[in-house]
Amino acid sequence: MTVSVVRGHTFQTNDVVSANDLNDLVRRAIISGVSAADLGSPLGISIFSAASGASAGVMTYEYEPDGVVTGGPYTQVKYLIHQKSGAQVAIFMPGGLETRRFISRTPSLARGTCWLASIFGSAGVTLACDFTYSAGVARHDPIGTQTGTFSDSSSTNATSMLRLTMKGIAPARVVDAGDTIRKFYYLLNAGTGQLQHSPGATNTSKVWGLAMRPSDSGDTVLPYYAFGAPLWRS
Amino acid sequence: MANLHRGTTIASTTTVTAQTLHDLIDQATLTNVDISDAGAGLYFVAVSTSTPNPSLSPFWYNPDPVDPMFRVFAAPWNIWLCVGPDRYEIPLKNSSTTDLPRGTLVVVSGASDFTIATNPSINAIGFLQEATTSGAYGPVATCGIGWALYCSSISITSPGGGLPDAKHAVVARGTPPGKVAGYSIDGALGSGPMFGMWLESNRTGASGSNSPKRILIWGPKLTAGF
Repeated sequence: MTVSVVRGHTFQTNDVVSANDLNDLVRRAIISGVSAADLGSPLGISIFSAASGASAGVMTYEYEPDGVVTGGPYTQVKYLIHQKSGAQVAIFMPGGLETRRFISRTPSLARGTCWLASIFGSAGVTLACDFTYSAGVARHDPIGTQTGTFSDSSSTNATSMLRLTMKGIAPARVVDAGDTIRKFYYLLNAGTGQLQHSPGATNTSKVWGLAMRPSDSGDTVLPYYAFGAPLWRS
Repeated sequence: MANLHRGTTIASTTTVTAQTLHDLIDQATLTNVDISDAGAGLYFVAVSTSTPNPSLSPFWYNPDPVDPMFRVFAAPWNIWLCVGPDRYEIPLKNSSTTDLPRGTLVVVSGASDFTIATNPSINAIGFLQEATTSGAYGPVATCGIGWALYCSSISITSPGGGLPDAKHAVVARGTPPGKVAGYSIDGALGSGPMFGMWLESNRTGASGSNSPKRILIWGPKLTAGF
């Protein structure tokens, strides 16, 4: 589509051309009909200015490597919001849900760790999660697994938000020490926030996700499909 | 509306040459391109806490920290639908005879309709995310972080007393149709249909009974056994 420029001043045949008229010719001109073809090539989906007082951001569509350790990295297609602060979150991805609404109440945990819902201080706009697992207790309250790296010096962090994949393909810290038979689902290790195949000091009554590489062994980060809810085992 | 800034300023005493006129245009710059400048088929993402005009901007990111969401305008149903980051919604018609508030637990009523019912179980499909009048279409969240209409239960006495504290399961026991309460299953299996988990208790703007509060919608209607 052609961009239209409508002149800001129209001269008549016998007009005496003044400086003002010449300036207005451009200054009052109107541009319309901008199309995608007129935008610069670095522009992905859209660049927007955030509401007053908020960070500006860029929304892109890209492959984000999840970089699991065993078997090399794998990737997912996600629409991401990149904020000027450097924070990013998947605004949507096929079959998955990722959130960045939760502040952490634990300074640092490894990628792929499972986090629990919590209320931090007086209940407010910001949601909170923590890591107060109790071994042997049938936990029903994980929010999701940590997608990115995260560390913060504060144990009562009120500023940094975790990237948590609540549903869909995600990295998971897996421990299978002692496993003799691996399965296609993961249980929550209620002592460490890791996922594992076998019972032990773990939640044996609820299943959290599908093991996408059930044959892999070792304490590592592996891809799994988070159900987004605890599924009761019969 | 976009602004075109002239490339040079011609004063009343300026001797205008060909170069002057060339500079007037060649060095001109364009700023403030916005939605009104876009041609047909090109849309920008509106970023605001107020609802944009969907005919100008069918894509909307609401940065409100209470419920930050990316929405698209679903023209066939005349409503906005969330597509993330942490909730999905589907358009369904309110076939009940009453107007329903945000957070109502709804059950299926045909392929594209919902209604409300007592003792919902496997027939529950999700939570209504915007107030929807009878006969109109509304956004129903099937999973993720969304709103549920809390109502103090008339029959739940323990554990948790029906409160919507974080970690409590979301249940509809003894509550009026469309409303839910809390039920603590910490350290226990729980029983009966559970639709999600409360993420907050009372807070400013959402306190007391008959108030929508945020929950993690589990999607499946979970229970230890049907």
